[in-house]
Amino acid sequence: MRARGIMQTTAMALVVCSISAGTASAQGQEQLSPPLLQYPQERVPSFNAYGLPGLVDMPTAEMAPDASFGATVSHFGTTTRATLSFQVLPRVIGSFRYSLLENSNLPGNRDGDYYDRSFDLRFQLLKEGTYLPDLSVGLQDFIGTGLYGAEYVVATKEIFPGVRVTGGVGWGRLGSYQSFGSTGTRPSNDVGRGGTADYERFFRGDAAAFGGLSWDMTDNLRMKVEYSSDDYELETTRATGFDRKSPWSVGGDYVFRNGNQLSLYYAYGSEIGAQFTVLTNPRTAPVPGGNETAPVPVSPRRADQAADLGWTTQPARQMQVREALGEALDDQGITLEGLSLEADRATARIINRRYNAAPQAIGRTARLMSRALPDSISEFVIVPTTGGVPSSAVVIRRGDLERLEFDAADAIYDRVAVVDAIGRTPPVFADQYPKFNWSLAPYFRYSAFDPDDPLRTDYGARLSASLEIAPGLELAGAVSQRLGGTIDEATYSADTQLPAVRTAAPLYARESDTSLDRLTLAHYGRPGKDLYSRVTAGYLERMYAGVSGELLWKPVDSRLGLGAELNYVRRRDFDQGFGIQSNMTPSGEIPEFNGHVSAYYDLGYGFHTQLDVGSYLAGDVGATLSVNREFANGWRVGAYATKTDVSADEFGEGSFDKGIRISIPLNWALGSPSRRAENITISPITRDGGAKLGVGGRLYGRVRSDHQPEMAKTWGRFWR
Amino acid sequence: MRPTKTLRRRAIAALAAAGLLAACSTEKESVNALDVFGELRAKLSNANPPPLSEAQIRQSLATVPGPIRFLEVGNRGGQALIAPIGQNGDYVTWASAGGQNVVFRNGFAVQSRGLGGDLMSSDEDALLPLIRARQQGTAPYVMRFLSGDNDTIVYNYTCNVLPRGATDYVAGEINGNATAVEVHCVSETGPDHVSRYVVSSDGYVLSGEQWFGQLTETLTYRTLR
Repeated sequence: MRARGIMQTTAMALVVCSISAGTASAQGQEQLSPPLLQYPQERVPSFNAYGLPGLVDMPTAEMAPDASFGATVSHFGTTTRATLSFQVLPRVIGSFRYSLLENSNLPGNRDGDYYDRSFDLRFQLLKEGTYLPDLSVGLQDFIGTGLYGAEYVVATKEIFPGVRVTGGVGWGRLGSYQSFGSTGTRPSNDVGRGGTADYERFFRGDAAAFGGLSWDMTDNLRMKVEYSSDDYELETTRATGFDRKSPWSVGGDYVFRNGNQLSLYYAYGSEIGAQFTVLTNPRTAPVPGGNETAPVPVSPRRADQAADLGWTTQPARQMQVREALGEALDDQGITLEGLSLEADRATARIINRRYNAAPQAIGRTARLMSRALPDSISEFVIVPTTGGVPSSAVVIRRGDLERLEFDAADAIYDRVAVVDAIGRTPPVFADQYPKFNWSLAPYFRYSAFDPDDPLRTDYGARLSASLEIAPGLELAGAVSQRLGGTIDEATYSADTQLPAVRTAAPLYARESDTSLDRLTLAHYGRPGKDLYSRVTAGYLERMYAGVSGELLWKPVDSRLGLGAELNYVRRRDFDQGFGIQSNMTPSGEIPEFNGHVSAYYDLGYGFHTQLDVGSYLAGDVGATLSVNREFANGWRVGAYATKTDVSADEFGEGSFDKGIRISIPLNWALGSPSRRAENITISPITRDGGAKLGVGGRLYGRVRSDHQPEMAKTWGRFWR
Repeated sequence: MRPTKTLRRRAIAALAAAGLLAACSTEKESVNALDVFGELRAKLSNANPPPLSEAQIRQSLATVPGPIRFLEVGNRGGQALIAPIGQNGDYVTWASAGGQNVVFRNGFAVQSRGLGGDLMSSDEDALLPLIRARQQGTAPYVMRFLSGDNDTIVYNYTCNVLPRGATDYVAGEINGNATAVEVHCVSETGPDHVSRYVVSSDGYVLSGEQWFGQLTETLTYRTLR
């Protein structure tokens, strides 16, 4: 039922998405907003102490530019709030907040420090026009403990150039000071457990008015004044050190060119406060287009050579072609693994080591083929592979390449075919396998939201190695040596009603500084057209060993993928060596088998969704829904929620598993090409319900980028 | 744990982690996370490469056979000498030793690669004949750039070509009569701009101060040989 809430919210967001969708881009990819270079053109509104568009502490009806990603830290009185916000859609902004209330006697406090997590959502119903104001409705802390629980309807209108007036009505916290009426009885909040969206509370109870004024004095300076309807009852009755003397607060913002904001305020007649908001926008890039060196130009054929087939009977010349092409591609960050030459067609089997956008690797390969291959060849087939397994075949006519080199990228897109690689993949060269790679690198691990220490970290060194025995057959492992940190100091609490599949993590962290993170033998294959397979055996992750099998159906031109995964798991010893221990935990036995079926769908407008249904690690049965907003430069911002047959009480704090995932591509930050990305998962609480096995190499992520729907999004890079 | 101890531990952890960041690997495309800071430093220091000296240009003209052009990338002040590396019909690709390319069509820049914020392609079929003919007139002109999100930004311009009279062209080994041409472009989708060219009597664009996108701003080029 609670998961239904998430789903309803998601569905609602998607409806809004399709309503407010903008124009289609060049390759038929729907876009929510027009493309941007380095900075959004729209005005960036002031962010308030809750890390959302607002005044000092009160909300406004404003929205940030589409896709704005913000991080705010604010402090006044005894309250410190750290908030991540994301403009999910042009008219929907969401946020996740971690707050500290000092000197408090709330249940769950540690030495007076009370930590709280909260999620907000704000929907803009009306956009400002000549006469009408912006009008928004917001839910504050709608899924957490309810500590900040409030709802509001607010309007904002620019009345003079740069001067905006805001007025609104609030419930919950925002209806607690000088309320003018009431809309029924508001059920009390459940500080302590949280995690559920409590519809019964929404817009119930006392209502009060709030408002204020903001004035953009210059492009960089802004003043704001507000009247708050929040009486800060908890902070004044359940904590000491904060005195709310007045509903009035005044503040000033300094806004940097990139939208970052530094604010100072005098809040509630007693406190000096400050905040800093860092804003970035995944639709922009520090160096749009990247700063990697230029590709080589296409070499047009000479008409008199087109009929020369002499090379077909000269193996030495073919070898020369192969070596020249292999060397030139290697220089561009592309490995030539195989090449088949027919009289009028050449097929290159490649590994794209460098480019985040597959079309860029395809385009560079095609251009080098035009320079290296005999003139009689009129068709190029390029087969990108991942881990030795072909994921698609791109068919390009050489004449199109020559004719359209200086046209818009759309022109060649219309002439290219992306098809299944089955039956088109040349064998690998005999000298390509086995391949051995290793790396020694630092690692940094964190564990957040432990009330004893909200951010625990570990650091150390990790030695990773892989041996690709044959295409698709890989032996890989990683050993890490912890050098320091505090994760091992986390308290292990046996407070769970389910088999301790994840709550036992502190036992693993404290047992040994040297750990075998993984050691697996994996086979990746193509059992047939549209099909991909994986079998992984060994030490699959830090807590589990076993065997994992996966099958994926994903046609090369389809937005839909379907998969199934079955796992046999054995619990590893706490010291994370080679030992295996019984699956029996103090709170129950971990089933040996788990698995799920998955559906993946590219919804368009940059949204991607995944639904997993099956049996989780602790034996609970249910489903996980993930929705990501994805950007063609590799940025992904998304949320997931898992609801299984475990009740909220059995699950414990948080009521059900949920979280936020953010992926930031390194090449976006660097400007230079790289396929690496920084992946961050923020899970407010780790419990045993809805937990999945952490096996590496899941198929969808490996094959998707080389398929037509993904290539279409980044096809502009074909000629880059 | 109390904050001071935690903070001290974190500071040590951060330092140790920073010291370890220089990872080693046999993988060819491994990226060092410290590069991020290197890039930032480069941006903060705003260090432009020193301009090419007359002596460097003379030396290149003496040692490199064939056509040479001088290139300056507007807002970054980077300068380079470029030489042709490929031809496809009217389009000639010129490259710098640093791995940047600019494609010229009859001497008029139509694309770049490797400059950052590159002009990915343009439709100059109607504009270029007017410039080459040094003739007053109006023509459409399209410029395409990659957005921060790998989408294509298209600017549709209407350009006025305004011949500005005869001029002497003196650069490198070229010394002769030519015509100055000014091109004013306006658009509802992109920033308005003015570009200036010097065109030879046979319709070759000898030099240009050409608007080349919001990142590059003005691309300056001169034919030296």
